[in-house]
Amino acid sequence: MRASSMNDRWTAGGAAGARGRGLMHRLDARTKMAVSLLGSVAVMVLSDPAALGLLLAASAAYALTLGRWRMLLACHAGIAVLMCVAFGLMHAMHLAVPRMSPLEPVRLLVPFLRLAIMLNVVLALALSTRVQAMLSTLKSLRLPFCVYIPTAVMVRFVPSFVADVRQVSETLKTRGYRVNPLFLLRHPLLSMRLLFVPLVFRALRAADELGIAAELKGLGYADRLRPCRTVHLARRDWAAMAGALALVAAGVGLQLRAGWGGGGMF
Amino acid sequence: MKTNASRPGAPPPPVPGAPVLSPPALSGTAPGRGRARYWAVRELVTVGVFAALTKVSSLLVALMGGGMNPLTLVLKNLVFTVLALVLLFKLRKPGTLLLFTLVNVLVSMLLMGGGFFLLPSMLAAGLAAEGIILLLGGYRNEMALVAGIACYDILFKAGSFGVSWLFVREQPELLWFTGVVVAIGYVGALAGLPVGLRFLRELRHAGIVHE
Amino acid sequence: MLRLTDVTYTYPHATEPAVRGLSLRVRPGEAVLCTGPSGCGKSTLVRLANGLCPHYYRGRLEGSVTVDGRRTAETPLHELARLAGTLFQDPENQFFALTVGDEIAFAHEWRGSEPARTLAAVQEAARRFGIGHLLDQSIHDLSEGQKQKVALASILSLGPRAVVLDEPTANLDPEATLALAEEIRALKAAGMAVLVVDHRLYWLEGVVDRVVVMAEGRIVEEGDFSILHDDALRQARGLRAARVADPRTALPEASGRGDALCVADLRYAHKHGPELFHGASFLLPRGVIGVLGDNGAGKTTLARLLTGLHRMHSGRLHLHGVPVRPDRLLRHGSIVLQNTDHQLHMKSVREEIAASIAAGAAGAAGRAGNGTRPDSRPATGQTCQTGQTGQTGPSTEDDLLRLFNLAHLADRHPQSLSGGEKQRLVIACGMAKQPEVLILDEPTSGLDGHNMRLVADAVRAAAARGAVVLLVSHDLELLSITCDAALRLPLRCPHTTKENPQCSTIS
Repeated sequence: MRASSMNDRWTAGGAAGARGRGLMHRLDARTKMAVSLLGSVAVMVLSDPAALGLLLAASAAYALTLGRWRMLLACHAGIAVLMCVAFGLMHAMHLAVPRMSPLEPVRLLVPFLRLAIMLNVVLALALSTRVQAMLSTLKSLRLPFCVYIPTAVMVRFVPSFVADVRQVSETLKTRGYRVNPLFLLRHPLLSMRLLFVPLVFRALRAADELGIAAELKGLGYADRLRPCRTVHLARRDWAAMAGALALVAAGVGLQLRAGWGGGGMF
Repeated sequence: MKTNASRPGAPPPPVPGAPVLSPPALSGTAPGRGRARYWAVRELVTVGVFAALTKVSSLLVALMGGGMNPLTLVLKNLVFTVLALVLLFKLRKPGTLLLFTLVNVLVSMLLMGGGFFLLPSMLAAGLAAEGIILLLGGYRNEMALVAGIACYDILFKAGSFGVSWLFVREQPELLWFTGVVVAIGYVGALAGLPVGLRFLRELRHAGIVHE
Repeated sequence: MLRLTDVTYTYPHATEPAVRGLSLRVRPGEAVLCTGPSGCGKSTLVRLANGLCPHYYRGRLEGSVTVDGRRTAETPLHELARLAGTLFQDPENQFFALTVGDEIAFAHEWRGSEPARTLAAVQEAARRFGIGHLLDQSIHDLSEGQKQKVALASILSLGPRAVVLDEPTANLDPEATLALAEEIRALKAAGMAVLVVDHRLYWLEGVVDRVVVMAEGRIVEEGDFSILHDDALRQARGLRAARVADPRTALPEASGRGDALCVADLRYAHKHGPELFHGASFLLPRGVIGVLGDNGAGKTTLARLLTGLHRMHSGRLHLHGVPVRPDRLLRHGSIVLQNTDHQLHMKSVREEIAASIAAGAAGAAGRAGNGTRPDSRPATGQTCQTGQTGQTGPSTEDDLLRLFNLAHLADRHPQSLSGGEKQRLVIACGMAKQPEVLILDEPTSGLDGHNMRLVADAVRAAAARGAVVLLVSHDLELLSITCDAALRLPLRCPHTTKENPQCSTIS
């Protein structure tokens, strides 16, 4: 089996650069997408705090291989703040309406465990996968023409629009506008105009220009594109997916022990 | 030799040479296979570009608005509605809204691992909205497009509310909060309709969208 | 190879044809230049040659356009693209993929080529253009010259027999422009027909075999390159110069010739990059100063540092002897960035200028100490305060509209203007607040001779009122007719501080 993230490179230097990075960067984008999807299904099905706790620990370890622990910490701190706010509001509701069922902190914890697990797997995917790898993955999914083209264009244009946003905000700065939450509150419509009018026009123009280029390149001439390189999954990808499945199975085992009546879907 | 492919009866654009996109007659062909395609490449590209813009706009509003607060929620939904309206008026082709939502949710699923449970509600909302547009006169009828998007928004929001139950089912009281969030979002979506129509007037003035 | 016979073309909804009675032939191994003022029909000619008219734009085509003997109106676009490739002004907008290799492979993959043939085509194109080392590079990280090479490599890998180049030098520096001229010679030698549509002319002397000049949708002059040496013709048709002496070495050094703007101990490096400015100090006089240097020398970065768009690692600014924080310099000045689309927000040209005048008024108020920011649109007809220099420049919307030849477009939507008109509008907006420091980044790319001279006159007038104008431009013609002096990058030693006590105290 060939290494995955390297054989989507054209030059030896590009492949060496990919090899030199951490494990998460070397996993195939499809593997990380599969892990994310599995995670999103698992967190919905499971409700036992122990099962979710196990997945949280595993997903945190998975995300920490990125080496971006500060960012992870900040995101989890955000979730903790959200949880405290929810807890406070719920407590206030119970004080106001004593008839409500009693507040159980463990049960309140469960939605936030779900959120934290999803955050870990999604961050791992988003922070370690090049947009080009996403495009290669889309190619390999053999989607229908009418779904592949807009999806690929969307993935292709997100970085361009992010750059556009930066340029628009710089322009506003040069004109003397400071668009911040206060400005947004005082002048919501003007803010929208200043921020979005250039972006929408840019989008319309980009769509026209890329549409022309696509037609001239013969896009749509064949029913499907014929990729010149196929990207194979490596052993580590299969291992990562097997590990994820095993963990979810263990979570289901814990849930079975606790019983589905405690809030599981079934 | 004369080749005439213009649409009769349409008003002159302010910018000669602006690409003309929209009528169903513009469907693409797959010449290699010799059969007509429903979607022309340029239309698919436009859907993709707008889907990207929607994603980036949500992010931008969240950053500018300082995170999760009512103003950000309203503006985020307002921008989505405005962009969806512009896209529908630009392409005017049945299925545009459905394809737009499908692409959005597909990318959310693939890139963000989320949205998996939103897929059925999004598709159902998209299908229902397409049906309403069709019933009210099709993509040529402006009010049908507005009603379609309003319908899509409310159905999708209802679906989101259902999905949020899955998330917080252990503590159903939390649904009050998600309910408030969804309601505020819908206010933004509704506000987006008149704003979108006003913006469309501006796009017509700029010669980007034609009557 | 490429032949237009008595072609008249009308866009959908338009009442008048964009071009009429056009006849032109480009033979194999021949290069033809088409030039003319903005709006003369050059772009339509390009669209006719590559089949976008009528396939994409539809409209009404009379006469015949053939490429390699095939009528464009009857040949599918993707077939035409195999016969005649088109390189557009901004190649990045043509890119579908995100890396160089994938972009070159893209068209082959969609045409159903065998994978081995696609890979071979990519490698061959990369070898031919010397971009093998860039194959894994993101298209966003390429210089303009590299983008152009990638786009050309992608087009030529399909094996066309004709190439159409639409304003190919608008974003190129002089060195990349000369490299492109060499490439055109090579294409001709390979038997390819080349049609170049451009405002800039000097680089094509000795490269093109024939020149056609268009005006109002017709060919008005045709001949070899020497017809462009006729001053009367160029003046009458609003063309640029046919010969341009490179002013970059001749311009005197600006630093130390005056003390209007003083920069001391400037340090800055891009993230993960080497230090671009290492304790640089310089003094700039009033007047027009060209900021010169190779690609990557830091010209645009310097402009952004001086206006607070990038944060200096260290450094100080003095304007007319008064210390100014870089992020406050914009209260005294303006910067006009390259991408005009991002700088236009309002509903009409008039409103756009009025908003800039309001920003200028608010900036002046900020200078006076109350810190007001422009947060609402001004009433029509509002005027701007006179700058510190004492002389009055164009101060009302109408003045600026007239100065930049935009009066007839006052009610148009800014985003509906042509590229050249947008460029003039953003410069007008930059000048609206009568800046003491005006920074222009590539203000004339894509402008015809008439409008380039119009911008040059406005820049000179601003300098005459006492402003420091920093001009970051690859446009040799503009540099030669506007600049008084040059600031050359990389900045070598901080010698200027010794020449001015004011600056030596701050450093």
